[in-house]
Amino acid sequence: MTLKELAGLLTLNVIQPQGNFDVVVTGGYTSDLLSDVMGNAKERNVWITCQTHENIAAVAKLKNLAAIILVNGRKPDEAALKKAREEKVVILGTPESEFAISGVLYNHFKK
Amino acid sequence: MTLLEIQTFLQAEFVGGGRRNPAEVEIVSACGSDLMSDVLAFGRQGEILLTGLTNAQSVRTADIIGAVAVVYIRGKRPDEECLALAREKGIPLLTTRKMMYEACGILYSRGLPGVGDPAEAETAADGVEADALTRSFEIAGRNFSRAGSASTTVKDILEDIGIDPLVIRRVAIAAYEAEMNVVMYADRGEMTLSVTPALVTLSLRDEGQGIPDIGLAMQEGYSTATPEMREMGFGAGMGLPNIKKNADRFEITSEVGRGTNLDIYFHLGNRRENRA
Repeated sequence: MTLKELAGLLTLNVIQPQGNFDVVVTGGYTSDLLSDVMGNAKERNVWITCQTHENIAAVAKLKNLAAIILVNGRKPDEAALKKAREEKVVILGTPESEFAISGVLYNHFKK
Repeated sequence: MTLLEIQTFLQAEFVGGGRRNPAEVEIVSACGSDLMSDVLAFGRQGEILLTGLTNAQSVRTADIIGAVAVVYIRGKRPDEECLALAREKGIPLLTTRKMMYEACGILYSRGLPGVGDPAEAETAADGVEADALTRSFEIAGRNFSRAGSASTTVKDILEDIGIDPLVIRRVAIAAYEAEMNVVMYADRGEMTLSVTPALVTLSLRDEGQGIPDIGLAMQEGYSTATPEMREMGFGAGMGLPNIKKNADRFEITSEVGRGTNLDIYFHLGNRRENRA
């Protein structure tokens, strides 16, 4: 599934569109602890989180993640948005919870 | 869904805390997060908390929002302090080797909803007829291991005198956020609870760095937290907005280099919606 298809499947809002929507997503990783994501997320995973400060863009870039999905209607702060734009890290948003988004995505990938 | 079913689906093991028969513990919804402020903002009564945060704040948060059990993910185990608190609060603790993403996925596919119905708690305000009750609690700044103890005591007192559980929940959330702010940003502080038949008031006075721009600090997501605070599950810029959301009235004054004062009011009697 490409990032574009995933955004459609989950009806996500595009918060930061600069980046590659044709990347093939390998699955999801859900965490709010940056050190955990650095340690455990896999390449081209989408990262599901409610963290909004600027280090999320750096982590996504370093781990070569497909995109960041912000849950609970959270918006990135200005610095995070700027950094994500520069680093071409796509940020998507949803009013849904981490639990629900993880649930839908996990079950989709398992099929 | 029962706790026993959840345990089976997640291949989770009990690691301690409250001893209850898992086949008789009913779970209505789930919340997965490592940021306790988000759990306080979005968590629901009767849910199960999935988290990678294993310190005592995970259990304090679960207790404050009325979560029924906590599941630690990625094989993480709670520390001793956390286990002791969970035993005291009667909250069972489990651990699963699954990651957050997978644990959420499995429970979701079994039909557990992300958002439960707001608890249909009964009004029990008729127990309040005494004069104003006032209690004060010291809060030690920068002491994360004690953090949250004043708020859980406030919650216990309100339960003992029979305040409406929906009001208690709002008071407890606001108290906990306010207490964490003192712990994170002040040297010392004091929380005073006052209860009359019409009003619950929480007053916080702290000696600390103060807030230069209150308007900015009230914005969701604005935070000056250090990485250490964030790893504790706090400092996501939700604290003051969370307090305001749960209060009927909220006043804040602050002086840089001196400290911050909060007065938080909750009306009793005329019930409002649990969630705005």
